[in-house]
Amino acid sequence: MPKITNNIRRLRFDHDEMTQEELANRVGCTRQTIIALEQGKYVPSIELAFKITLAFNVKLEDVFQYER
Amino acid sequence: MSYKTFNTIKRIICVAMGIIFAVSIWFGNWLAPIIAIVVAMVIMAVAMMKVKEVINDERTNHIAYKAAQFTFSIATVLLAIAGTILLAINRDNIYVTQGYIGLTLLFTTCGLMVVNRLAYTYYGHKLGGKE
Repeated sequence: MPKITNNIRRLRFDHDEMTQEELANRVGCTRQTIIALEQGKYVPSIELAFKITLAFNVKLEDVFQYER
Repeated sequence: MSYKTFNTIKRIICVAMGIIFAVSIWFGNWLAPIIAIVVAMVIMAVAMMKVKEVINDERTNHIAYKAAQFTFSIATVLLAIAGTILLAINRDNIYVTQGYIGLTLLFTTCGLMVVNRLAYTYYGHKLGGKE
Protein backbone atom coordinates (compact mmCIF):
# COMPACT_ATOMS: atom_id res chain seq x y z
CA MET A 1 0.00 0.00 0.00
CA PRO A 2 1.42 3.45 -0.93
CA LYS A 3 2.53 5.48 2.05
CA ILE A 4 3.55 9.09 2.52
CA THR A 5 6.34 9.58 5.04
CA ASN A 6 7.94 12.79 6.26
CA ASN A 7 11.07 14.20 7.92
CA ILE A 8 9.34 16.91 9.93
CA ARG A 9 10.79 15.75 13.24
CA ARG A 10 14.37 15.72 11.92
CA LEU A 11 13.92 19.06 10.16
CA ARG A 12 12.61 20.64 13.37
CA PHE A 13 15.73 19.59 15.23
CA ASP A 14 17.92 20.78 12.36
CA HIS A 15 16.27 24.20 12.63
CA ASP A 16 17.49 25.15 16.12
CA GLU A 17 15.34 22.48 17.79
CA MET A 18 12.14 24.18 16.75
CA THR A 19 9.24 23.14 18.98
CA GLN A 20 6.07 21.57 17.66
CA GLU A 21 4.13 24.59 18.89
CA GLU A 22 6.45 26.97 17.07
CA LEU A 23 6.06 25.07 13.81
CA ALA A 24 2.29 24.87 14.31
CA ASN A 25 2.11 28.64 14.77
CA ARG A 26 4.26 29.23 11.68
CA VAL A 27 2.15 27.06 9.39
CA GLY A 28 -1.20 27.91 11.02
CA CYS A 29 -2.30 24.58 12.40
CA THR A 30 -2.68 22.99 15.82
CA ARG A 31 0.18 21.32 17.73
CA GLN A 32 -1.87 18.10 17.64
CA THR A 33 -1.71 18.17 13.83
CA ILE A 34 2.10 18.39 13.93
CA ILE A 35 2.15 15.45 16.38
CA ALA A 36 -0.15 13.44 14.07
CA LEU A 37 2.05 14.28 11.06
CA GLU A 38 5.23 13.22 12.82
CA GLN A 39 3.61 9.97 13.91
CA GLY A 40 2.54 9.32 10.32
CA LYS A 41 -1.11 9.17 11.33
CA TYR A 42 -2.19 12.07 9.17
CA VAL A 43 -1.37 13.10 5.61
CA PRO A 44 -1.57 16.89 5.12
CA SER A 45 -3.25 18.77 2.32
CA ILE A 46 -1.09 20.18 -0.46
CA GLU A 47 -1.50 23.64 1.07
CA LEU A 48 -0.28 22.60 4.51
CA ALA A 49 2.53 20.58 2.96
CA PHE A 50 3.76 23.68 1.09
CA LYS A 51 3.45 25.80 4.22
CA ILE A 52 5.66 23.31 6.07
CA THR A 53 8.26 23.40 3.30
CA LEU A 54 8.24 27.21 3.45
CA ALA A 55 8.67 27.11 7.22
CA PHE A 56 11.82 25.00 6.79
CA ASN A 57 12.85 26.70 3.53
CA VAL A 58 13.33 23.38 1.75
CA LYS A 59 11.81 21.58 -1.24
CA LEU A 60 8.64 19.50 -0.93
CA GLU A 61 10.49 16.25 -1.60
CA ASP A 62 12.93 17.04 1.20
CA VAL A 63 10.04 16.93 3.66
CA PHE A 64 7.66 14.37 2.18
CA GLN A 65 8.38 11.08 0.48
CA TYR A 66 5.99 8.84 -1.40
CA GLU A 67 6.68 5.13 -0.92
CA ARG A 68 5.07 2.66 -3.31
CA MET B 1 -5.96 33.22 26.33
CA SER B 2 -4.47 29.74 25.98
CA TYR B 3 -6.21 26.77 24.37
CA LYS B 4 -6.31 25.06 27.78
CA THR B 5 -8.24 27.96 29.33
CA PHE B 6 -10.61 27.96 26.36
CA ASN B 7 -11.26 24.24 26.87
CA THR B 8 -11.98 24.85 30.56
CA ILE B 9 -14.47 27.61 29.68
CA LYS B 10 -16.09 25.27 27.14
CA ARG B 11 -16.51 22.53 29.77
CA ILE B 12 -17.92 24.96 32.35
CA ILE B 13 -20.45 26.23 29.79
CA CYS B 14 -21.47 22.64 28.95
CA VAL B 15 -22.06 21.81 32.62
CA ALA B 16 -23.91 25.10 33.21
CA MET B 17 -26.12 24.46 30.17
CA GLY B 18 -26.96 20.98 31.42
CA ILE B 19 -27.95 22.34 34.82
CA ILE B 20 -30.00 25.19 33.31
CA PHE B 21 -31.80 22.78 30.95
CA ALA B 22 -32.56 20.32 33.75
CA VAL B 23 -33.89 23.05 36.07
CA SER B 24 -35.92 24.59 33.23
CA ILE B 25 -37.58 21.28 32.39
CA TRP B 26 -38.26 20.71 36.09
CA PHE B 27 -40.01 24.11 36.43
CA GLY B 28 -41.52 24.06 32.95
CA ASN B 29 -39.75 27.27 31.94
CA TRP B 30 -38.92 27.51 28.22
CA LEU B 31 -37.46 31.01 28.24
CA ALA B 32 -34.42 30.26 30.41
CA PRO B 33 -32.85 27.69 28.01
CA ILE B 34 -33.22 30.07 25.04
CA ILE B 35 -31.53 32.90 26.95
CA ALA B 36 -28.87 30.44 28.16
CA ILE B 37 -28.14 29.28 24.60
CA VAL B 38 -27.75 32.86 23.35
CA VAL B 39 -25.52 33.84 26.29
CA ALA B 40 -23.42 30.67 25.87
CA MET B 41 -23.00 31.36 22.14
CA VAL B 42 -21.83 34.93 22.85
CA ILE B 43 -19.38 33.74 25.55
CA MET B 44 -18.01 31.05 23.22
CA ALA B 45 -17.61 33.50 20.32
CA VAL B 46 -15.76 36.00 22.54
CA ALA B 47 -13.58 33.23 24.02
CA MET B 48 -12.71 31.94 20.55
CA MET B 49 -11.61 35.42 19.49
CA LYS B 50 -9.39 35.74 22.56
CA VAL B 51 -7.52 32.48 21.91
CA LYS B 52 -4.11 33.18 20.42
CA GLU B 53 -3.44 29.61 19.26
CA VAL B 54 -5.05 27.94 16.25
CA ILE B 55 -8.16 26.03 17.39
CA ASN B 56 -9.45 24.62 14.10
CA ASP B 57 -7.38 23.40 11.22
CA GLU B 58 -7.75 20.92 8.35
CA ARG B 59 -7.19 17.91 10.65
CA THR B 60 -9.90 18.96 13.11
CA ASN B 61 -12.21 19.64 10.15
CA HIS B 62 -11.43 16.17 8.80
CA ILE B 63 -12.19 14.64 12.21
CA ALA B 64 -15.48 16.57 12.38
CA TYR B 65 -16.37 15.38 8.85
CA LYS B 66 -15.65 11.75 9.73
CA ALA B 67 -17.62 12.00 12.99
CA ALA B 68 -20.58 13.64 11.22
CA GLN B 69 -20.56 10.98 8.49
CA PHE B 70 -20.48 8.18 11.08
CA THR B 71 -23.21 9.81 13.20
CA PHE B 72 -25.44 10.33 10.16
CA SER B 73 -25.14 6.75 8.94
CA ILE B 74 -25.77 5.30 12.41
CA ALA B 75 -28.60 7.71 13.26
CA THR B 76 -30.53 7.21 10.01
CA VAL B 77 -30.39 3.40 10.28
CA LEU B 78 -31.41 3.38 13.95
CA LEU B 79 -34.21 5.91 13.40
CA ALA B 80 -35.51 3.94 10.43
CA ILE B 81 -35.48 0.66 12.38
CA ALA B 82 -37.13 2.24 15.44
CA GLY B 83 -39.75 3.97 13.27
CA THR B 84 -40.59 0.77 11.38
CA ILE B 85 -40.92 -1.24 14.62
CA LEU B 86 -43.21 1.38 16.17
CA LEU B 87 -45.30 1.54 13.01
CA ALA B 88 -45.55 -2.27 12.94
CA ILE B 89 -46.74 -2.28 16.55
CA ASN B 90 -49.66 -0.08 15.51
CA ARG B 91 -50.65 -2.34 12.61
CA ASP B 92 -54.15 -2.93 13.99
CA ASN B 93 -54.58 0.70 15.13
CA ILE B 94 -54.39 -0.27 18.80
CA TYR B 95 -51.21 1.56 19.78
CA VAL B 96 -51.96 4.81 17.95
CA THR B 97 -49.43 6.95 19.87
CA GLN B 98 -46.61 4.53 19.03
CA GLY B 99 -47.71 4.65 15.41
CA TYR B 100 -47.48 8.45 15.34
CA ILE B 101 -44.05 8.35 16.97
CA GLY B 102 -42.95 5.78 14.38
CA LEU B 103 -44.21 7.95 11.54
CA THR B 104 -42.45 10.99 13.00
CA LEU B 105 -39.19 9.05 13.22
CA LEU B 106 -39.52 7.79 9.65
CA PHE B 107 -40.33 11.24 8.27
CA THR B 108 -37.39 12.67 10.25
CA THR B 109 -35.13 10.05 8.67
CA CYS B 110 -36.43 10.92 5.21
CA GLY B 111 -35.93 14.62 5.95
CA LEU B 112 -32.34 14.03 7.07
CA MET B 113 -31.60 12.04 3.92
CA VAL B 114 -33.11 14.74 1.69
CA VAL B 115 -31.05 17.45 3.42
CA ASN B 116 -27.94 15.27 3.08
CA ARG B 117 -28.55 14.75 -0.65
CA LEU B 118 -29.18 18.48 -1.20
CA ALA B 119 -26.01 19.38 0.69
CA TYR B 120 -24.07 16.78 -1.33
CA THR B 121 -25.38 18.23 -4.61
CA TYR B 122 -24.62 21.80 -3.47
CA TYR B 123 -21.05 21.01 -2.46
CA GLY B 124 -20.62 18.90 -5.60
CA HIS B 125 -21.37 22.00 -7.69
CA LYS B 126 -19.37 24.32 -5.45
CA LEU B 127 -16.24 22.19 -5.47
CA GLY B 128 -16.43 21.52 -9.20
CA GLY B 129 -15.89 18.22 -11.00
CA LYS B 130 -18.98 18.59 -13.20
CA GLU B 131 -18.33 18.24 -16.97
